Amino acid sequence: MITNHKINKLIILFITAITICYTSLMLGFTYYSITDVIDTLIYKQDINGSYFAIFDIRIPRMLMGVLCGSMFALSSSLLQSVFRNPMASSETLGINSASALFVLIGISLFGKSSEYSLLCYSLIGAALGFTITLFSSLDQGKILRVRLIIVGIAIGAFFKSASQFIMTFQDEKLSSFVSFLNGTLYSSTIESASAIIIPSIIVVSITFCCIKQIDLLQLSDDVAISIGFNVTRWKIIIIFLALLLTAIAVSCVGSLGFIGLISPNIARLIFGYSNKYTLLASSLIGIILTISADIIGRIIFIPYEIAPGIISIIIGVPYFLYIMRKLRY
Amino acid sequence: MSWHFISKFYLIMKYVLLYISLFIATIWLFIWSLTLGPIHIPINKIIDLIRHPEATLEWRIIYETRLPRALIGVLTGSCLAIAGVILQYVTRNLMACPSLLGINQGAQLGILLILITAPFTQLPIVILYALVGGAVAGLVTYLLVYSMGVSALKLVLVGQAINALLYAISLSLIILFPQKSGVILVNINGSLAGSSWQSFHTVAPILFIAIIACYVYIKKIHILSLGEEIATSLGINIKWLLAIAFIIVTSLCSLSVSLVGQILFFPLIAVNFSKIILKSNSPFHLLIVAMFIGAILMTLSDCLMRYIYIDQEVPIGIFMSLIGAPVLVLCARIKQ
Repeated sequence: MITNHKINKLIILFITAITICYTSLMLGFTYYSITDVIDTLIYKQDINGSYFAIFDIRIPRMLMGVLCGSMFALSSSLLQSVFRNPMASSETLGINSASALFVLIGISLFGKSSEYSLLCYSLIGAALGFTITLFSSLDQGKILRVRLIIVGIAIGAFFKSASQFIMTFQDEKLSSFVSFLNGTLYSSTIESASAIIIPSIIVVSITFCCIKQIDLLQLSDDVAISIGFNVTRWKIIIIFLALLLTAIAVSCVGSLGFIGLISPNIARLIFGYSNKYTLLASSLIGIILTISADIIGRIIFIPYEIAPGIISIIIGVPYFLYIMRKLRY
Repeated sequence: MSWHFISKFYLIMKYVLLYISLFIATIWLFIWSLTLGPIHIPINKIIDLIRHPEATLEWRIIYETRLPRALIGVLTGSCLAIAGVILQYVTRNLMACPSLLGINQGAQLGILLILITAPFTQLPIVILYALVGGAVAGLVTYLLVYSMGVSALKLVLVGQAINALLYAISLSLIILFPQKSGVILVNINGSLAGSSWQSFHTVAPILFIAIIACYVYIKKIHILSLGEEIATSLGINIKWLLAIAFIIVTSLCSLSVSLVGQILFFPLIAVNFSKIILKSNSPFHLLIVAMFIGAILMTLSDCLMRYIYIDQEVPIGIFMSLIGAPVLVLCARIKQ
């Protein structure tokens, strides 16, 4: 009975996500009605330039939003379950800014040879940022919840200002990176979107294969060890997965602020602590939030665009404060 | 008797030496900052010009651009550092820093709002907006933390969240009004580039009053930091004192922000350096040392940025957060 209930909720989320994705094809600088979009998508008609607008601009953008939104949400869910800390996320642990910095450095030193080279730089950055945060918040083998987040934010600020520092001197070459730092879907093309589809699907499906282990990590370490579960090994594997997810996402859209932070929390609010549903739900919520932030940023001040990263901070901070209030120490 | 006298004398000598060396360092940096720029003016030339002012090009460069810049650097640096000291005493928190509690970012947003709606507003009104913005942001942070139950780490975390929110709002305002944001963009990362005599004359008197107020109230504020019971038993009106401290900190920070823009972590770095140098718990001396250190830090980073990147204005705010982030990490480790 309860399971049915949860499945119903999941279906509702799924339908919402699809509706929002479809809306994102309709809205923008020029508005196309529902039938216009269907005509363009299925019958390949060109209504008022819709073929170009939808196929070359809005679909890549939507696709990128779907992939990256779900990856940010997933990676943060993983980090939150490993640290048992609802405030952990790739943003608040400084991972996003670190990998953005390394993408920046990589491009300015070696150029953009292929989509996968960006991914490599980004992964190195993510690993470095995470390691620094982890080791500087480690104190006698313990990690305090709040301290971890403060240290992470400080490390994030460090890497962010380092990227601004680099950008100050290379403004002509890297001017598009100003928006990259705040997270944007603006620069997505069909090539960049199709380049990450395969790696992201692989990593996401590996993540979903680990649901059982992630659930076991929720137990206290003693209990988990007593049933013969290798806690340390799985923690490392899951953290690595989280880093991989973040790295792929950041290499495409930059650092999408608070989306990763809030989606798992909302999912947990709806579905409770069983990861079977929560992971799926949090990635769906990540998609919904990313695409709606993108839509809002696109239509609110036409013709200017506000990066979804900025919108997500404005939405996300009040929720972050709300989570903090609920936490007890 | 004599031993007591000697040890006291030794202590006084120690402070005198410390202050003299800090003073010399400040003066030296001040003069160095006058020589720096696209046109290099050597020191002996500057001394010559001070003795016999002539209406040459060098004199005008020094008098009209570099002198106000150096003065504003010294002034805002010491004000921000003092604000940090007061805030740390009031919150009893090693990591407290006005730039991490949203005060500076709020002031920045206030300035942004008024400059966007009315680009040619008089400076006093801009400053008023900065004050209001800083005060509102600071109050919101404080009330939020208060409603959650105060803890040292939480204060910083909530402050950072508010900071991020205000930063995002500022950024979207800039995107929304790109034609009006040229002036603001330089200052959003903190820079001394926009300094002028006019802004110095408007802001400096208020800042001086706030600094004097700091020295008047520092003893009471220090007692407050020892615990509310002790303070009450000594006849201190806590609410009144807290209000005064809040006004002092807000005005110091907002006015500094209206001059140099937002510099993340600056008060934190300055206060921690002064504590390391001072090695004693005297609040009065800490205040003086922090003033010097703030001035030195601000002038030094401005000079460094101008020395390394001669033909470019690099915001010192970026440089500061490169240094400041590790300092915050260290503080978070020391606490608890």
